[in-house]
This record gives sequence, C-alpha cells and structure tokens, in this order.
Amino acid sequence: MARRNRVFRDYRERLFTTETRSTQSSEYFLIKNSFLRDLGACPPPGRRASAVQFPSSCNESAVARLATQKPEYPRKRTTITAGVTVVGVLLATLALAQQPTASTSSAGAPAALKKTIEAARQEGQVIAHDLDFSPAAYRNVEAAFNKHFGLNIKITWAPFDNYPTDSAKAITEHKSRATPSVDLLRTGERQVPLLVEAGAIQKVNWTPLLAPGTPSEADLHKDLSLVWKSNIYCTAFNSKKISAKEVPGSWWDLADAKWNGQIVTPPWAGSYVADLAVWLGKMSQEELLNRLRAVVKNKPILQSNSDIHNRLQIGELRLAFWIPNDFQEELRRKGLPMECKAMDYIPVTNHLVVVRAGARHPNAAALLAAFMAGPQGFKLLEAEARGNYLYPESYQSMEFQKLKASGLPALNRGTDLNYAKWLASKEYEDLNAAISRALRGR
Amino acid sequence: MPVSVSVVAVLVIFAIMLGVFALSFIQGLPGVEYSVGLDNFRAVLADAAAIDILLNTVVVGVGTVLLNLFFAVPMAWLFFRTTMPFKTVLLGFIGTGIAIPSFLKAMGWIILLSPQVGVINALLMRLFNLHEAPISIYGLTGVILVQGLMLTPVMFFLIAGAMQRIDPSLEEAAESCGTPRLGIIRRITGPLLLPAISGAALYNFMLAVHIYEVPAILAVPAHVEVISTVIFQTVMQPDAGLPRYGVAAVYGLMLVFPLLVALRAYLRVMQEGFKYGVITGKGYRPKLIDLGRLKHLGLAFVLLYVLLAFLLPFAALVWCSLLPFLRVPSMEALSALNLDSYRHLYMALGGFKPIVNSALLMAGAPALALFISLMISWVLVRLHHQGGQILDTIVMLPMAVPGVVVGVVTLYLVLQFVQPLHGTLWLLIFVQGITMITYGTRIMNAALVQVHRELEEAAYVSGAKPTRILRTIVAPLIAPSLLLGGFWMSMMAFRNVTLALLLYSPENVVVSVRIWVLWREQSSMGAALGVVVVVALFAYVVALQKLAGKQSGLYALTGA
Repeated sequence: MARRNRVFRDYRERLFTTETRSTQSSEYFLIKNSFLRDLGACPPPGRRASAVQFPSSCNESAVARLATQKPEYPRKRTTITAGVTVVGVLLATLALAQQPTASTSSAGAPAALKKTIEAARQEGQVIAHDLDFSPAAYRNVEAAFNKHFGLNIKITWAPFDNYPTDSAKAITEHKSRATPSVDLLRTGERQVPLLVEAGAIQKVNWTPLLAPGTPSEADLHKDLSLVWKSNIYCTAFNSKKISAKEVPGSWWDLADAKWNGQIVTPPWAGSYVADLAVWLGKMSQEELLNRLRAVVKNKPILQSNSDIHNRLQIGELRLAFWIPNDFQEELRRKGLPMECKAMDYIPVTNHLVVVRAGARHPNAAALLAAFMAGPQGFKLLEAEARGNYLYPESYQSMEFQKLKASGLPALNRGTDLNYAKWLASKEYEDLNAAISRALRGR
Repeated sequence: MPVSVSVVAVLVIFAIMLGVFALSFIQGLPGVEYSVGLDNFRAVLADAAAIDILLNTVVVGVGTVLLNLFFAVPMAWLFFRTTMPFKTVLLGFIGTGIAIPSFLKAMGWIILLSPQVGVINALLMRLFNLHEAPISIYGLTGVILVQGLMLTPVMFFLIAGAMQRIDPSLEEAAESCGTPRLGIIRRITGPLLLPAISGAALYNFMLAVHIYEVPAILAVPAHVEVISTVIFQTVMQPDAGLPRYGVAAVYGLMLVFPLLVALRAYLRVMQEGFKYGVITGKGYRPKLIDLGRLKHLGLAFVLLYVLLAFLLPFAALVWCSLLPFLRVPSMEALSALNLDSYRHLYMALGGFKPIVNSALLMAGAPALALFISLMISWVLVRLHHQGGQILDTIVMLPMAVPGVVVGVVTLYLVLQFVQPLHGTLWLLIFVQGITMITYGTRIMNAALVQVHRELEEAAYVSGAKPTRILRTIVAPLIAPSLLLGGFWMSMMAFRNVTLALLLYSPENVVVSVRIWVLWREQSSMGAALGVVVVVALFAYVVALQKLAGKQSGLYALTGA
C-alpha cells in the first residue's frame, strides 16, 4: 500500500502541475508533457504542460488509479502502455512561464498574435459596444481579457441601440472619413454585407488570434466578423399560465379564432414568416399572403422586444412569438417559469462583432473580439445567460438539440451561404415589406 | 446684436430643416450611395391607414394639451398668484417628475390598470363581484392620460413666468366693480395669459405627437397606431438593412402643415402683444392672493396631480428597483424584495464622468438656448418686423420632425463641416441648446409681451444702447421667466436620450444614457439608478428654490 501510495503520489506529481488544478471538474486537466510523452502522445515542444479533456466520467482519482495499475511504471517510464484512454483529447498548448501571469505570453505566441498583442499594448484601450451584460460582468470581462493576453487595457463600453441604427451611424461616419466612435461594433447578419459594401469594416486575420477551442464557424464571414453569441427564435411562454401542448406548433395554427388578440410578436416576425414561405415551404407570394391574412384576422400586435419582455414578466402575456431564447433563459434563472417552443422550424441567428475600418484601437478591438468568441468569452457569456450555439456545452446548443428532437428543420441563418445571399437580395426585401404590410393589416 | 445673433441661430436651424427636407427625397443614408426620388412619399401616402394614423395622432395631441391645460393653468395660478402652502416641496415634485422615464410611467399604469393583471382592476372586480376588468389603460384614452400627466410640467413652467408677472391692480379694479372671481379669470387673467398659454399649447401639442414610448406600450396593444409608432416599426426597426430615415422625414413633413396652421393663430396673438403688457413704467407690485379656507381645495388639487404624475410612477420605479424582474405587487413578490440593485450603482454609472458631463450639459444647453431665444423673441416682439415672424416660424419647424431625424441630419452636417467637434461634450451642449430654442422662444415671447415697451423707450431716449437695455432693464424684469425656463430646460437637457445616443462618444457620456443602457441590461438596476437620480434632482430643485427666493417658489421678485 505504501508503495502504491508512493507511486500514486508520484503519478499525481507527474499528472498535475503544482501551480494549478482545474477548477472545473471533468473539463480540462493540466498534465505534464513528460507524462504525455511517456504515454506516446506528442505534445508541442517548449511547453511544460498541456490541457487535456477527458470524458466527463473521468476525474483526477480515476486517472491516477489507472496510472498506478501498472506496477512496473516507476522502472519503465518510457514504456507506459496506453492504460489511460484519452477520447476526444484536445491538446491546448499552455505556456507556463516561470511567473504565473498571462496564459498567452509574448514569448511563446505565434508571431502574428505577438505582434497584435504588442500593438494593443501600445493602444492601451478599446471602445466596444456593450454586450447586454449586468454591470458587474463587465469588470469580469475586462479582467479575464487582460489576463488572457497579458495586457492592461481599459475597455470602454459604448451603448448599443440596435443593428440598423448603429450600422447606419457607422456607415455615415465612415463615408465622412470621421474617426469611428466605437472600435468594435456589434452588428447582425443582415447588416454585414451593407457595412462591407460601404468599406466600414476592417479585415482581420482571425486565425492566429483565436484561442484554441474556438469553433471555426465563429469566423462567419471570413476575416470580417466573429460570432460572439447566438439566439434561437421561438415562442416564449409562461409554463404556469399555458402548457407546452397548448402552445401552437405552427405559425399557420394562429389562424384559429382562439388566438384572437393573443398574437404578440416583434416587428421582425416578417422575416421568419418569409423563411417559412420561401426557404422552407416554397410557397408563392400570393399563397403566403392569403394564408397570412387568415392569421391577421386575429389581429396580431407588433411590439418591440423590450415591451414584450416587460409584459411577459409582469404576467400580462402568456406567450409571445419569435422571441430570442436568451430572454427566456435569463428569466428562468431569476425564477420565472419561461420556456421556449419552436414553431415550424428552428431559426438560429448569429450576433456578430466587427472591427471598424479606421478604428482608433484596431488591435485591441481585434483581440477583444477574438476573446469574446473564444472559450473564455463563451464562459462569461453563459454566466450572463447569453449563449453561443457554436459551443456544444452551451445552453443554446442543448436547447437546439431539445427542439430538434421534435423533428423540425433547422436553419442557421448565417452559415447557410445561399440563404445569406437571399437575405441580401431585393426579392427578400420586397417580400419582407409585403409581409410587414400584411401583418399590420394593410 | 439681437438681430445678428437671431439670424445666425436661425440659419443653423434652417440648415437642419433643409437637411430634413432633402432627406425626405433620399432612399438610403445621407452622404452614402443613395437614390433620389419620390419613393418615400409613395411609401407613406400609399399606406391605406395614413389618414387614420394622422387623425389618431391629432387626437392624442389635442387630448394631451387639454389635460395639460386642466392641470397646468390652475396649478400655475395656485403656485404663483396665491398663498397656497407647501409650494417648495410640491414644486420639487412637479419639477422632478420628468426624471422618471416615460416608458416606466406607462408600465406603472399597466401594473395598476391592465385588464389582465392591473392591481386596481383586481381590487374592483373583487369588491363588486365583476367578471371583467372595468377599466383598461390601453387605447388612446390611456395614452392621453399618461402623456397629459407627463407633459403638464412643460406647460406649467412655460406659463409660470407670465402668471407671476400679472399686475394684480387689473384684477383688483375688476373686483371693486363687482365682477365675480370666475368673471375676472375669464375676462382679465385669461386674456392676459393668452400669449403664454397659446405658446405652451402649441409646444405641448408638437411634443405630444412625437412621444414614442407611451403609445408603443399603451396604444399598440389596442391596435391603435400613431405617427411615432409607425415611424419606429417601419423605419427605425426595419425588417432588414438600415433605418429608412427618408420615410421618417416624410412623416415629419406631414406634421409641418398643422403646425404652420397653429403657428399662424399663435403669431396673430403675439402681434397684438401690446394689449398684454402688464409691466409698465407706472407703479407695479405683484401681489399674492390669500385663498383663505379655499387653500385646502387648491392644495388637494395639486396633491391629486402629484399623486398621479409623480408618486405613483415613483412608487413603480422603487418597486422595480427592488425586484430581480418586473412583477405586479403580490405577497410572493414581496418576499423577493432586495437591495442588490443598489449595491453596484456607482460602478454601473461608470464613475464620476457621466455626472460631471450631465451637470455641464444641464448648465450649458439652457444658457445657450435662453440667450438665443431672448434675441429671437426680442426681434419678434419688439421690432414688429415681418422678418421676426419668419424667424419664429423657422424656429418652430424642428418641433414637427421626429427627434431621431433631426439627430441624423445634425450628425451628418457635423461630420461634413465641423468634424473636430464630433464626439465632444461641446457638440452635445450646442445641439441640445439649439433644439431647445423652440421652447425658449415660447417662454421669452410670453415674457417680453408682458413688459411694456415704454420702459425700454425711456432708456433709449436717455441714450442707452440696445445691449445695455436688454441687460439692465429687460433681463431683470423677465428674470422669473429666465429662471423658470432655465430650470425646466436643464431638466429637459438631462433627460434627452435620443440625441445623447446618436452623438455618443466616451467623452460625452451622460447619466441619461447610462440609465437607458442599464434599463435594457438589467431593469432593476436601471430603476435603482432612476430612483437615486430622482431623489438627487428633487433635492436640487428644493435647494434651488431656497437659493432663488423665499416667498412663493422658484423666482426672484423684482419691480418698481
């Protein structure tokens, strides 16, 4: 037993660095590269340790036990067989400097990243659109961002209004050759082509800046934008006031007279109805408008997102349609029984950040964008009930899987390139306008 | 100097209006690739509901003004002509109510009078065994109620100065002839206040038709549309792409026509200004009327207004600040009350900078607006030149146009011609000041009309130059209007979010923007900051009154 314990301790020493232990169980373990090499893995040179992900059933003790099952190990360090199975290993390269400061220091980072970090250090600050976070969360973002890159940058959070207005302001500033009022702009899938056309976006080679573990789909428009959060648009309902069974599964069910006066939706509902007709249902415009008029007989109410949220919160509404699901998640966490049910299909919308052309602090902005799209930014997002569907462990992703189980088709509005082209077309704009008029009873 | 200052200021406003007019023909963004044509007009006029929308808008405007007149005129009389008690505190409530966001006022009324969850409705249904809620806040009536209460202080402060300066000897002469009190009000006090009241009514009408949050929350659920909600839904939140500012400009131009009609009637009143001169070279001393036992009735009337317009919305604000999410009052909700939102307020505010910026804005913008307004009003009232009427008309035009359109055009002009100012606090002060000239000229017109020209003529004859006359004779005589108008403008400057957002930069961030951001991110924290701001502003108003005068409120008495 003593020998086993000594071996176990030896193994534990070899397994885990003395500096840190993972605070998130069953996520990443820091394992010394010497041990990994003994197992036959090939960690990058010049590093002391690597982050390794195990199946969630593994934990520290289990790994150590597996390692001590080979009694000859102390004598045969180089011949350890693969007693430990590593499935879905992500080797994240960690440069552990002698002093535990930044996770990514200048010494080991690729040249482009190093250059960007140094330039950002010179810039010293960045002005970014706010992220709809609680006030305390912004301090966490700044601290985590600076720690990640080894910087001491001040982040000023500019008020974000909405995609059309803020993008219009950006284009106006750019065309007037004025210094942008924000460095990092929040924008939507529909606005990116317009910003690109105006030349208001700075191209950034994101690849060297993105932390390991960042989904490749985050670079949605190739060197133009990054996905920092996403939403699934669904029917938000209070499960104490209406059961999931009663909530309609199709937009066209709302033609039933029982929904008279209960159809509340934001003005952008038209674009989802357009999806149903053209992208999914292949209806003609005439058929679409006829079916829509049957729904409109029940007098839908078009209100802004925030007004709908308020009415749902005070209990005046039982349900509302085409609502972004991070709203439901936020209220669920606060104790309100809000749920999400898909209607006809599962639309996933990506929310993007872009670096403004001519920005005062472009390098800091690029790093901040990369950080928010990366795993650490994602964790901060999740803590604020803002999900990123691109991460499998996100509540958005889990919600998506749950909704998909109902058999409905899904549409990621940003990643489907043909859809994105249609979104930017005159045909879509005209159809959308016709639907909006119909929804307003015109 | 008055003429040159007036002309320069009006030219700036004219440039903005010209930009708005041009924008109505543009599809796209100004200065960016765009097409020119009549498509925006077609989009607006092709709307089958355009007439209904315009009619609804006019109903809201007229209804709001009538409710304003109902409260504001008697309250101004009670405050500035009588010995009603507790004026300092009550004026604090009236002056501070503006700090409560209008959407929160609307939400507060929903919590009270929603047919589904309204607390008062639930009580009435239980008391009288009703199956349906007897009162609904939704619809045009609800909008008129909330906006009427909300905009009453605007009218109150517009007519306060004029009310204060009425020579009581005119009323005393009528009383001594046996005219009853109501007759005196109808035949003497009322006509003397006509310039002030007509200016206030005109201004409030234009203000009422442009408010968005209240009709969005209270009219839209009842399937009633007004111009401001149509602009938001189809223009500012389009289903795709960028805002359609050109269409918004067309809606604004639609409102210019009724504005010009109303303005013509107003200018006719102003033309006969000599009839309303009460401050003359003869003996004049304003005097307060002793209400006797009727003061309790007067007090009850003011308290009713304060309850409806301030205390109830403030209670809703406090309630929201103590809960993690919006809820109607209930036993369950009571158990969730906490002070978490107040713990990180300073951090949420973003430091001291927004406070300093807001203070500078509240001082600078009104000072600029009052100075220019005085110059323009002097040209209109004193010179009796046709040009004066043209100046006053141009100054009123921005009232017809949605604030966001004025903001976009201003932004474009600034970026083209004075780019170094972009993003600075000075720009925000300048633009806010310019937009408040409309309000300032209503106050100054009414105030100058009350000062008989013989006082200035006497100084002229003695060799004084116009600038000296303005500084040493006119300004002291209209000091109450300057103070009251300045105070109210500082509150308007504090509250304006639209321009502050459009012209935002980290250097010019103000408290109203922080409240707006916080409300979106975390409603309880936005409400908490709102509570603190209201309390601080209340203290500011009360302190200002103590400093300015001891007798009857926010003014300093001067006179022969």
